[in-house]
Amino acid sequence: MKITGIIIFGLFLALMILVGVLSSKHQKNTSDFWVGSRGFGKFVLAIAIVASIMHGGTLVGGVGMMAAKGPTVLNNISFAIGFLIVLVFMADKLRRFGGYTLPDYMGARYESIKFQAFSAIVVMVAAIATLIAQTKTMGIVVEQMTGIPFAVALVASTLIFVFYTAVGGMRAAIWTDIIQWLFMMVGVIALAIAIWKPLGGMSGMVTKVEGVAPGWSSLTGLGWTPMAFISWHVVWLIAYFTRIEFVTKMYTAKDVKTARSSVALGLPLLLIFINFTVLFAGAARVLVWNDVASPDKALTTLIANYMDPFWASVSLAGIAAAAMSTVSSLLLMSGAAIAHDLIRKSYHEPRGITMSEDYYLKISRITVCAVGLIALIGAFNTPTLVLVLVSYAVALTGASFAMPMLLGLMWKRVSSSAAFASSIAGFLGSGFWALAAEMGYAWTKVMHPIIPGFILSFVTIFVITVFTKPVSEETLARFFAKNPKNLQTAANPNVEV
Amino acid sequence: MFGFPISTSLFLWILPLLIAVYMLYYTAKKNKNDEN
Repeated sequence: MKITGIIIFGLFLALMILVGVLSSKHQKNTSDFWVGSRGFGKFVLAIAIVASIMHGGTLVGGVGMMAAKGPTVLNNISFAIGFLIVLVFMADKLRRFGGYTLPDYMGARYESIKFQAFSAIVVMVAAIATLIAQTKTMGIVVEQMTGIPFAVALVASTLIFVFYTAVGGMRAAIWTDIIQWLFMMVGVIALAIAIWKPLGGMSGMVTKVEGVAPGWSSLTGLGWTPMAFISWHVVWLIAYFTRIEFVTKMYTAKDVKTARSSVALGLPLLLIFINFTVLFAGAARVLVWNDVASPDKALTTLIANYMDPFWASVSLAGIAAAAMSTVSSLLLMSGAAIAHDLIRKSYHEPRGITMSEDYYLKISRITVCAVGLIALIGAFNTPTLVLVLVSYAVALTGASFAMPMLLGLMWKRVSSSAAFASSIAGFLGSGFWALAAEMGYAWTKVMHPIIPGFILSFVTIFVITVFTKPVSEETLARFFAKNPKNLQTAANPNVEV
Repeated sequence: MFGFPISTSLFLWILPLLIAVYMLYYTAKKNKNDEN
């Protein structure tokens, strides 16, 4: 048992519970639960966006991969272009639309309940897969931090994040993101200070790594072909502008200007945070590379070897916080896909079944608890390299949603059947490729599963759009109105410009 | 930059920072337009 670790983690968990309890007082209907009453400001939202997309795997797996292959593994350029796409093409329109979930957008833009239900199933599958991986990462880090056995650490931390998400909904997820972000920042700064001197600063680190691994700091790093390098960054570009926990945060902004500003402020915050990992990767390569059994142990070994127990616990709390901030968003996403998109929008409403807001709030909370239980069970039996599992999940959502999302907001002509078929093609393309990769077929190594799925989706949406009719003018007006202020109608009550 | 070759620095930091600056400019301009 590590007393310092237990105290710090206990404090962290107590704060999470407090936020959950405080947020629960604001939960009166499903709008409060799923989108936090659409009341968040730009700074809070910018931090929440960054905290929810920076997961434990980004830190643990990312540092290991960068230490092995070089710093240009880091997806700064993919983040930047991805954020730019969300800012220019999505933020305004998604906030004006004012739904709860990504499948809500698919259903409304393409006038199709079936497409909404299909999107909800994809979101649910991908979010639960990522949730399992992140829950496991969190358990591993908490075990290392506190000395508590893995099973106990996993159960305790899962109970906490399920509790605050189930009682406080999106409001709790966003405010806990803010606290988790503070832990993440203090954690990375503390580790940077601890290794700065042994490395001789950033320049010293580069010189030392080049001494043991020549070419590490070059543009194409170690063992990258130009094709592999380009496709890696393209994969993550598609993955970032389709990150559901990112784009659905647009719904929670208090107005369109806030949604826009949160994206523009989020990118610099993200770049500042994530670029600490370049230093950690170099340090891992120079200081602990020969002592680690696998690349994903590099970061935690660095922390254990170069920090005193107090600061090591703080840094590990930062990694646990990164994992926890993502799992609450994923839990909400998968819960919303089931309770809102599948039960309410795809089953109850088309059949004229009317239930109270209290009923849907209760269903939402039960769903969140049930998905949390699935994550807990799954976390006991998953592959070790968390980033691999996360990659398949983002491949499925990226290939399924990139074209219908982006093109649907840019081009009026895109028809309902084109978007639906494109999404299915993307899902099947990336799904089969991922399956073949898992079965060990050598040809799958040519590209990441997101690429064949994306290409299929891209071709399908253009071809079918040409031969089919666009959706109604009334629907198009919701997304392409010249004067969005006129949109505030009884038919579209969620719009606040 | 920080001891890294110029091509690495350009790809890893300079280009993303330029995009970040453009995004701040774009947002400020659009938000101002919305007010008018």
